[in-house]
Amino acid sequence: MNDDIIQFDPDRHDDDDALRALRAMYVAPDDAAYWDGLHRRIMTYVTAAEAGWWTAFGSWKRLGLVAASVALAAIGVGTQGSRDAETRASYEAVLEDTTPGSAYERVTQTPGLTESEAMFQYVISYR
Amino acid sequence: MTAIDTTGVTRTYRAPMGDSVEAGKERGYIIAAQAGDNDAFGLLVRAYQRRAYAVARAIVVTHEDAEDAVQEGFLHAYRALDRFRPEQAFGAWLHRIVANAALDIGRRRRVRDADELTDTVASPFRDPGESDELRRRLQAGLQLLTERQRTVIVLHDVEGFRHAEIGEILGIPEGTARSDLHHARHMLRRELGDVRRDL
Repeated sequence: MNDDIIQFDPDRHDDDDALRALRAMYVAPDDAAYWDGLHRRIMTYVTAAEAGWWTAFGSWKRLGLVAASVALAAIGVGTQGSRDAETRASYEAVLEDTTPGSAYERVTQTPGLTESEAMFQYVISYR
Repeated sequence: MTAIDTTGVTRTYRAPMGDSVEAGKERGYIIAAQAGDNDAFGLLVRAYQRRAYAVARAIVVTHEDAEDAVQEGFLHAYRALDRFRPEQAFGAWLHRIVANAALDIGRRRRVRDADELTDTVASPFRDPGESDELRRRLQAGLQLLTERQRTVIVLHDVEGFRHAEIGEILGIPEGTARSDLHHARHMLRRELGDVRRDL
């Protein structure tokens, strides 16, 4: 398998010790259970990393749907609220002119005008 | 041969030549894995994990980092399977990926805890009868080497890779691998010179 001399120096037997120590330092485990465990660990890691994509995407999708629902509900409530405020403002605008001291009162109390003339005067003066 | 499938169930397969895979079968596993068959990928892991560990262990300092590098390397390989060309040697392709993962872990480790190298370099599987003095001096000698020189001497003298294979794994010319090996041996021999007399 190798294309070179394994020993540091084939003529020096003490290099055998060094090589042996080097191999001992880097020796891989020789236990079949260890390799079964590493295999399981690698496959679990790979599967989880790949599944993680979809799992993460799935949870984001769920979160996105919830967020979108909340946003739609908020928009609905906001729209309803502004519509109510608009209606209320319209009513108030109409009612405002019938309150004492308003333009309607001033016109109807103008001396010399009949009620229908006063009403006509009020209508044409309305802006 | 057994493999863990995607559901975590251990399945038994007929072992193709122990832990090594015949070329024809290997090609079949690769094609199946490329088509998304995780069980086939599991068989490739089973066949190559020992050599992948040896490559990683030659590069990083600790056994634990080697395991992490193998794990990362296989994940990268899995994700890059569609880019693997059938005319390539799967082992060489995989070893290069694992080596890159190991180099990356080594870089991050150096940044994190550069001071702990001496204490952690030893394999947890070493022979307890081994000379502590020799081991200590060998560790010191290895630290005098560049990372590449250390990797080359371990890949060559411990794991038995050829110069051409080492060049391919590390992405260096074959001649550079030879030169690194020569310098690494010279350095270690010099470092261990006086410790031998004490043995």
